[in-house]
Amino acid sequence: MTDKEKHGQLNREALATLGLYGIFFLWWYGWGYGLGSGNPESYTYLFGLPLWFLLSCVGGWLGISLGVFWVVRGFFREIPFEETPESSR
Amino acid sequence: MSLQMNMLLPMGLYLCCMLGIGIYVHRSASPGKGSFLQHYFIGDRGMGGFVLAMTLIATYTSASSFIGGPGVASVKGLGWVFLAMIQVPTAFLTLGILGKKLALISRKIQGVTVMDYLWARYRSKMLVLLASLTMLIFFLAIMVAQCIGGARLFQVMAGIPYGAGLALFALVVVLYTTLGGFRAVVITDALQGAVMIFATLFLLAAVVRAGGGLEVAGETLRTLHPEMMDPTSGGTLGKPFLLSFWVLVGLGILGLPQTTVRGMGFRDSRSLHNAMIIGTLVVGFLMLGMHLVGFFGRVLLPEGLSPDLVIPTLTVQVLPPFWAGIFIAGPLAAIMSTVDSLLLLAAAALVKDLYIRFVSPGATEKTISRMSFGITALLGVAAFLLALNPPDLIVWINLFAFGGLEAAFLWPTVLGLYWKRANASGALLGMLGGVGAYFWCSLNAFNPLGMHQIVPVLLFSLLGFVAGSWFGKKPDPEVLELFFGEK
Repeated sequence: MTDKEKHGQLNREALATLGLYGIFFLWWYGWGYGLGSGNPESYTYLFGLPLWFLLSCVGGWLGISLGVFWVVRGFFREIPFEETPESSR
Repeated sequence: MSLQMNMLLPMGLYLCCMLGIGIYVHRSASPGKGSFLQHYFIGDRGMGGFVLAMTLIATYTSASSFIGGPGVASVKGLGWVFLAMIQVPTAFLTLGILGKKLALISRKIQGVTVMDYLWARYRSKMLVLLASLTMLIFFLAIMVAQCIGGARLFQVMAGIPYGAGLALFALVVVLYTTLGGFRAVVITDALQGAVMIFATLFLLAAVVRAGGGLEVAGETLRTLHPEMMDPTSGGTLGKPFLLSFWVLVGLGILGLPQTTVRGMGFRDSRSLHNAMIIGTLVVGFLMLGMHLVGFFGRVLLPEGLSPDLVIPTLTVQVLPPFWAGIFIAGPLAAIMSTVDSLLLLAAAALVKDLYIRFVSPGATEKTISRMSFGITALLGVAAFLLALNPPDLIVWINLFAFGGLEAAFLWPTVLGLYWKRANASGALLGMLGGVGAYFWCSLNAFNPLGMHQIVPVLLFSLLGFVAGSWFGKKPDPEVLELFFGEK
């Protein structure tokens, strides 16, 4: 892998990271403010906690952990950090 | 008295254990291979995935995540837990964006500090000097504040007088950090991270049980304080305010030097990949768990209790003394793991970034190693003395430290890695503009739409950075080759 190829892959990995970040934001925002607006008395409750919280916070945390796992395993690549004869061309 | 002894014993054992790690690492150091600086300040870049994840999180989580935040959650309710969960991406965001680039570059330049990176990228003595001083001042203020938190904890929990608790606490942290350097810091961080996880788990279980189980405790809170079930906490948490935390404890953390430097110290790609997964799971668990402890704790506590006393009081109330002694180690671990990392980075700034670079570039290994031990210890003692009788100025600076570090370092760190045009004039303008704007906005309570001031500050700093880079000189071809693999 040349240095240029390494940096190309790193840029793509950074974008993937930002993508995950964006998805987490939308999930957090969507369930949180989507279900959690209005009168707290009228929310749906499960195990004593409102559904918006369970989906947005508990679900969001577990979901994004799974997402990170999936993206890192499937898309991130093993990049040698030490100088190799090939990388210095 | 016996109650105190019961709690002191596990706490004492815990502190001894940390000390033991410092001594062990110091003894097992092999001065033969590699330079002292590489060994002492970055641990020969040997961190594996688990240790990397834990040290990143342990350094990031401080007294505020373990005591302050949960205390507020007991007043505001789930809205504050909702806010805390913004920090779930901390680990994968920092590592995914900064990790591999820094790993690649720091090996080429033999860099051990954030300033080494800034120097290699911007080639400006002025910038390095300014950045080092900014970092030193903010770090010192944070360390003092965290030490105060640690000593208060001893005071509230075990009845140890403030001065004695502080001395004990500071002695242990300073000794193991000075003796063992980076390796001692990250190994103790990993252990402290594990302690935090267990403390959170047991405390949450105990609090929910004491409240009568999830259903009952939730039902009680819902009846007594319905606003605690709402993301806006009955309209007291505005949306712009809440959303601005996506910058303050979200994207902004990419600028914190204490997390950035972790990107220079890990072994290989696989370690980073694992750390991203482990780190996300762990940081989410800690934030969710501790803030829920505060939330459910509301049913057990008298009304009107000061938020900072919520966690200490709950711990003593729901756990038997011996176990309380063990689990108070959770917040203590959060504090120690923050102080040790800042202490070492501040020492590195003085020794490597200021002394070797500006005063004596040809210093021998022996001088460097003596100075490193000496300065680390000295800084620790300084923090201790300042915490003993905290000057108002330090307490005041600490309020600005977290956001101030972001305002100074975010753009120079991130844009240096990803924007070819970024140069020294941009970095200087961004840094000066950011810190200046931060103080101005904070003093004048400039919070447009009720947002935290960090949002306008980082926009202003970005503007300065882009303008400076645009009008300044293009970076040298060697710099571009080093950082982007092409000219």
